Amino acid sequence: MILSARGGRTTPIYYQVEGGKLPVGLPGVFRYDAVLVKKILVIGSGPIIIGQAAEFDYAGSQACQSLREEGYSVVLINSNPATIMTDEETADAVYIEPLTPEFCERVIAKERPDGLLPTLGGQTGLNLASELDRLGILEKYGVKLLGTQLDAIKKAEDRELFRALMREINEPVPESWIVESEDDLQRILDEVPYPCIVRPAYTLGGTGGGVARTREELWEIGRKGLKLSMLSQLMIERSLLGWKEVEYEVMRDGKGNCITVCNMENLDPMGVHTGDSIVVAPSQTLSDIEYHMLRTASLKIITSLGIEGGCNVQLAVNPDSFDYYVIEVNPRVSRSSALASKATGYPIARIAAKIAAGKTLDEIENAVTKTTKACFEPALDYCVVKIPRWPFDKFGGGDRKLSTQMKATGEVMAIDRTFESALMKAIRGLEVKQKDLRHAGMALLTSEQLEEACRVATDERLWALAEALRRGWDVDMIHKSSRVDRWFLRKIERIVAIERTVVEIKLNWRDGLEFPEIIGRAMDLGFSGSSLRDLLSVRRTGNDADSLRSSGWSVRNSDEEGAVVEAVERILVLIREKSQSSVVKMVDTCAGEFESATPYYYRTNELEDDYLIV
Amino acid sequence: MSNITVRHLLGLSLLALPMASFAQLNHLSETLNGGLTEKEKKVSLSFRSFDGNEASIYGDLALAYGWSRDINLYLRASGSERKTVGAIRTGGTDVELQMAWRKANLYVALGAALPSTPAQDRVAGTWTIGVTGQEGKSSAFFGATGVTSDDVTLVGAAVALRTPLSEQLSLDASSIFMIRGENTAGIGGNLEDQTVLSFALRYQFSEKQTFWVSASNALGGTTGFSMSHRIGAGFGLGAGIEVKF
Repeated sequence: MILSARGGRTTPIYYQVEGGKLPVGLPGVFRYDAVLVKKILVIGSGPIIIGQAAEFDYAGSQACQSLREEGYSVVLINSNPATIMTDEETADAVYIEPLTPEFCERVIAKERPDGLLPTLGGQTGLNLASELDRLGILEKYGVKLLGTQLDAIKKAEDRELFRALMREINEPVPESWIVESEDDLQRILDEVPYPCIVRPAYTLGGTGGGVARTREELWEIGRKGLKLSMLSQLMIERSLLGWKEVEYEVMRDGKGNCITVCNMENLDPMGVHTGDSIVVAPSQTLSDIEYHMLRTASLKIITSLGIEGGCNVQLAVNPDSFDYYVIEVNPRVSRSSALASKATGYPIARIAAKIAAGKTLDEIENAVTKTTKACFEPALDYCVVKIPRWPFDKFGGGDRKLSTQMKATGEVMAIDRTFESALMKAIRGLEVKQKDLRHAGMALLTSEQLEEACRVATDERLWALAEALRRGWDVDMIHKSSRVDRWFLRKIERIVAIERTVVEIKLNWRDGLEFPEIIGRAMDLGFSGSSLRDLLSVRRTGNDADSLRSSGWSVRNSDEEGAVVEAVERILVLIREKSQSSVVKMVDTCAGEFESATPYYYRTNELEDDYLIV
Repeated sequence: MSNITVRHLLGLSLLALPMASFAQLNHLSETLNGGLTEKEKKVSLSFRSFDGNEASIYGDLALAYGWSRDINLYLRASGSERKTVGAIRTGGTDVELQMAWRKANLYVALGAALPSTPAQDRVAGTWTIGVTGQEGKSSAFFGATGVTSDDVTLVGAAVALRTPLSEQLSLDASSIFMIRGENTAGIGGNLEDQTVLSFALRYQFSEKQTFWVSASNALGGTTGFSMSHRIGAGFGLGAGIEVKF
């Protein structure tokens, strides 16, 4: 019985009662033996939790639209009403139901979908699809899994199978131990090298995982992880703390064509969950050889797994050699896919859905350019920075240390021409107290406290690194303590240096000829007008000599009072003019090589617009 | 590449089975054969291997029995593994029982098929009607053929030709031009009707034994599978053997 199909709407939203029945549509029969997969079930990702937030709604919505574009009828099941994918326009029938095998079976029994797309609802969707298969529900109702098949998913998710496969294709994996019970855990306590990483299988956002530095910590984290893992399986792994962490987003179609959408590099070294790390796209510190070495490895991995759709490969790279290890593979659209999609303009979930429906990369149109195909690897002529947003402002007593278990509840992404300006833009987007690299709390720390703040990864480490550089600490010393790559530290140093130069205007204002150069350079590096006014301790209007003097401006005598006010006015005009002269650049997946029909834009301080918005 | 090799080896191993009589490339081949005499029997076994989107092997087994000079009975079976090709679920088996009646140049065959495919699992009606002609060792058939089930009706104009190339070697060619129904689909799911073409080079190495190699864009030997065009372009390559006794 349909209980809540409201009149006048194209897409009914259903919930079920025992014994209810919905009409079953005829499948598209042709060729005597063949039938078109007409109705596809998409599993949503359920409630937003740490490790699984709106990115899966984004992916699921894209996939539903993509499948409908191809003429499929889409049935959606999700328990979270606060999602775009449960909107009436997204799917043909929406079921707001718990994401459990029991409820899912009822939806399957009523809707009789031909296919199931399991790889777009994050780990929840994947786990539910695995359960449906294990319980024989998919076979019972003749539902075919579309896209990446469960054996490939299993190979990627099951730690032991994954390691065996990596050994088979000669890809290096860190030394590790598989633990499936407390007895196993007890047995290896004296065997593993400390610190070590604990990674439970089939969990979200690294739930139940962590870094164990002692025998006792391993026992504690391991027992918790066994309880949280869907398979009661843990991988205890050789610690690669301090290595660079790099991710590749790769796509593969049913014919074996594969491309890399983009690669991303974590500013934080290994040991911090990717979801908790500042991420830069494309990678900034890899050499060309390293880039291609890791790209080749990623393509080899997606091919060996037989994935049809999107896949995320995480790698650890030794900062001092060409050594690398394959850390993990997500055989599905992942959190990073949303970032990679927005960073490049390449709609990973949309393409993955079309691949699942049998299309190949060379057949799928690039929706942004409409002149190229999905087999074109995106080209980036800008830098993207993602900074996680942690909820510690709401949970003041929370442990701010970051580890392999994700704590961030959201993230911001910024696009600009350089790493520095993208980083500064991202900080402003965070909606925290800090609007640039200054942090009042960090300025009060003793050297010992600051050293610890640089060494231990927390949500505030970025500001600790800036403060250390502000205090003139050596880049090598900070690198040794934090393991953050020197390239990133030097970029932060540049921002801190210009920050110092801007502040020095208060003393050197008499040499007014340099103002345009300094203000221009600061804004090119991402300082906002508001930050600059704050650094100069000036108001937008109404600055007088007394207030300027009291905020640190050098005013030697009453003769200079008029001149200082005039100088401040000139600076404010420069800031205003520079702000107003920013230009529009576009994200078009091809760095301007081809015409683009629907690019999207970002503003930056540059010389000319990529495109005029009419 | 390794998959193709495995599939071909599998097919070739089937040929090693001691089966046997007159070549049956598809159900139209029978129209060229002139029919069995009373109580005469034949068995044929063949396979066809497709690459590309529909990478699979279809196997065929056909038994024929001469009820009388004019009436022959045929039992045909075709099948492959079930698989999902992009948005298309395909494969399965089809078993067909058909009775063919010949009088002068007229050929009429009626039968029933029991498919077990993602699309069909109920009895379907099959038929072929047309005229045959013979000149020397060449023979030809012109007519129509079709299959009707609950969900799909396929009707095609059919033509089949046999030309001798030597004493033992001959070439079979047949074509079904679709008049009604979609017999294939694009990989993206757009339904299409495509002309089915089949060719076979037959080698009759004794009066009762024939071997052939074939190229066809149809799936198999039953009427339903013979009228079904593969997904995508290109031909499946195959081979078969037939023994009469």
